Amino acid sequence: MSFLSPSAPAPSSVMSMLGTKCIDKNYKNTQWYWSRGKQPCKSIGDFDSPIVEEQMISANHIIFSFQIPIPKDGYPLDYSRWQQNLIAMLHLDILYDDEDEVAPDAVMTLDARLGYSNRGDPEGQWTEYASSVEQRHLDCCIEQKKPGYMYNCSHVPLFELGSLHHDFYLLNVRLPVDMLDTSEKTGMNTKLGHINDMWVAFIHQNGGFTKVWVSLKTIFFPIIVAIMVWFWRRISQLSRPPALLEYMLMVLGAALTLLNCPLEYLTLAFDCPWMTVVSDIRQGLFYASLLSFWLIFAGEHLMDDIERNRIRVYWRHLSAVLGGCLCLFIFDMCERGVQLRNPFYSIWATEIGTNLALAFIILAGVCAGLYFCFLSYMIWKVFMNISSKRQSLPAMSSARRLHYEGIIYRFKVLMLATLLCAAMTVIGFILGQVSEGQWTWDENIKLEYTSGFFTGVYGMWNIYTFALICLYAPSHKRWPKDQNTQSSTGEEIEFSRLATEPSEMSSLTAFTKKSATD
Amino acid sequence: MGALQGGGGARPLPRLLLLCAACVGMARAGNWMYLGVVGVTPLLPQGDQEVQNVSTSSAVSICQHLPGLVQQQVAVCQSNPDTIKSVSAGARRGINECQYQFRNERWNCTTGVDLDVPFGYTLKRGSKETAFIYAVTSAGVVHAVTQACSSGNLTDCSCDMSKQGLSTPEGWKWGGCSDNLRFGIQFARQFVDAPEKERHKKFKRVRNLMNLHNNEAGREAISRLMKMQCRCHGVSGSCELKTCWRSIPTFSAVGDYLKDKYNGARQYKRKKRSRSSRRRDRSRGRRKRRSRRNRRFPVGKDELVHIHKSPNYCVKDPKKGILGTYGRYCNKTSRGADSCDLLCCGRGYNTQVVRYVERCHCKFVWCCYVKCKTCVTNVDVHTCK
Repeated sequence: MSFLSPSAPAPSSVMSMLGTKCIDKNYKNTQWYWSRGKQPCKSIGDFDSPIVEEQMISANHIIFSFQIPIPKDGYPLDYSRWQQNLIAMLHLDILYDDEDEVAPDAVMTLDARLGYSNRGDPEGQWTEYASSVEQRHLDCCIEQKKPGYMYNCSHVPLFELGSLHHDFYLLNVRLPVDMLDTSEKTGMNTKLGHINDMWVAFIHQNGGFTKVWVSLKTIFFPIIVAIMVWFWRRISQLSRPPALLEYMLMVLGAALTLLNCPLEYLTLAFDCPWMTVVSDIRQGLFYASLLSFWLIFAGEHLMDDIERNRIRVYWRHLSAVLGGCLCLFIFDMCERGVQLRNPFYSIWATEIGTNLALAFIILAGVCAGLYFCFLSYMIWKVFMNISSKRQSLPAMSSARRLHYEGIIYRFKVLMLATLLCAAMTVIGFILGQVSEGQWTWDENIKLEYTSGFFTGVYGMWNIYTFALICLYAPSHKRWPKDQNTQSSTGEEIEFSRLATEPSEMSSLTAFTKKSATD
Repeated sequence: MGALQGGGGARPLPRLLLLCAACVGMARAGNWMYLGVVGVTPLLPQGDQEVQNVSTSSAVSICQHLPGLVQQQVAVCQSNPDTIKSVSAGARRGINECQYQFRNERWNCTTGVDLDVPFGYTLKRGSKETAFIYAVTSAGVVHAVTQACSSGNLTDCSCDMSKQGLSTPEGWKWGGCSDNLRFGIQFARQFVDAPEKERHKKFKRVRNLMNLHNNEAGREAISRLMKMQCRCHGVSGSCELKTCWRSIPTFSAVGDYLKDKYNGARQYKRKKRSRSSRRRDRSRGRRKRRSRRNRRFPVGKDELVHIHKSPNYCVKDPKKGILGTYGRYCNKTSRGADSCDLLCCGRGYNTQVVRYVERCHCKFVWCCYVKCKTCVTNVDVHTCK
């Protein structure tokens, strides 16, 4: 029933968890340490506990245990497959000590294991999902250097799961030290200061959001497929071969169909860690085809006397799009692709990785800049041509004039629609960033802005593409014979380049034509 | 204390009732803060190490065992018995922070000799110090409860999806849970405010309103100090999709904040109103009366409020619970509150040379490895006359 709830929840929510400090003198990396349920681990409240001294506990014997999700209202919660993904961010509470300050470039070495269990499994049976020894930079600062005050440390990414297939997860994190190396300042985890607590924030997508999102996709998927079939049938009815713009519309439709395809249903039955990568790729393909479409649309409406209609003419412009998308794809594969094998991997953890990632992102940014230069130049040229054509319009014969008026009209319509959609997306995005940045806390009902933005934008671009395919499909109406006789053959040839006359506009053109002949 | 017996009477537990009859004399005036000094464990029935797994019947008994709680507090305790440990930890946290913040001042936040009635007369006084104690202990409870929720020790924390209208346990799958601070604050509002609310209902005194306000100010302090963290996880990790969450501040930061508020605490002065203005009020009727209840005393939610001036803490006055500053250590070179001039109230100080054997030049490796040298220093120690 909740499926029908009109308001989608925020796209994701966070469960912030304080680690339980389990102790085990005989730590084995095959053993699991959990804090709730039967036979929980032996744990201490804090490191000042007398047990630490009695049993000579060292850092190697301490396991921070995170058993998620946390029970609420006395009821053990479990994850649902609708919740899609899980991201963990780690945070350390470090006490200041004037004799033992945290080095500004401290690196911590984490020995992390992630296990899962499902409802119906015997209690305490955890299966390993992933384990890894990872290094992370610790970025800590402190304002008041007084003993007993905490450092302000940044959150570090810990792991990312592309699928939330199981019901319960257990994370065991250790910060092992090299006790032999303590004499030198180089030992593993010896410069971390007085660690007091470890927090991990677990971010997951909200089930309600997924449901709304997937149902949107399920609705749009057949609609776009149907309109594409209709469009292609129209084209195949024509005697001429399809124009480049029509091919582009088909590509755009195909990319959107791919994006719309509700693959997420698969995650309900199978473990699909590749889902985030696939959805990144799908989204990237849609963006790429949309950007290319705009370029080619502007190019085909240039109204100069160069014959285009071939994709090869646009190679320079399109290479900007392709280059940018390729950069982002490689970056994505380096981060999320590797995470398929090791969820704890982060490209930002190492110096080289950070530089590499930044290089790809900057390259993609350069490509985006180039693309916008190309596009703006083209649009500017189209407008220049439009204004020059406008002046010579009255001198043209009526059919030729109508042809140009048609081109100008449909270019302006698309321009307006695109600008409107883009502006709404950008405004929505900025509003979303601002509203997410400041916490609206307290009694007032918080409008779920972010999910509204997401579903709104998604729906808008779907409708945009739908309208494009619809409006720019070739008309099945023929020009009325009696009026066509007036136009000379020379002018007929000119139509061929942009032979697609939008059906919706045909009535308009017919009207203007009528008034012109009268 | 009739409240306690009333709560017990609802359930047929004659033995417990007897036990509680014994503790009636011990606790006074619904002062729950003693939980922070005494702790819960000694009050619990024996062999109850695993408070997590308390069955309902023993939960009832725990809550009945705790003296000094008013009826509503017992009810809150019974509905989530595990929280009482956090309440105790929170009160202790608050008291420790208070003592840290006031370690250099004439009033050093001493809890007094009587462990069952911490702060004794100071709580009744209605001065700035009273305001601080109320705020800091209330904040302590919020802090401890929130943290216990986050660690998963407390399984009763509510998921609170009221805005989604889904209160079933499965509701969290639809829209997640609210953060634990919300529960911490709600809990503290119910538990900590209960005695004051009860008394306010009975006596309608400004004093109770003051306590309620300062309790709220303590909770507000934590809420305002929450730090926000965000993580971008859109396409390829872009900030197209950003999720933010708040993390709880360290309690020392809360203490600093409240100390700051203590320094700027506002005194509420009852305005003497003439007979004519009172008559005018009456003629304006109900609307006016309601606004009078709201008090025309513009003060922020986060300000500390007091109604009386602080007494002179220099001279010992056992009747008023003032220990005086005799025998306190002072700092000769300081110019602040801990300077010998200020702390000793001009009575002068004694100087002693003390030989300290200290750990120094320590090499520390987390968590627990410390290797130190011992240093011997001779220090002049000044104590107030």
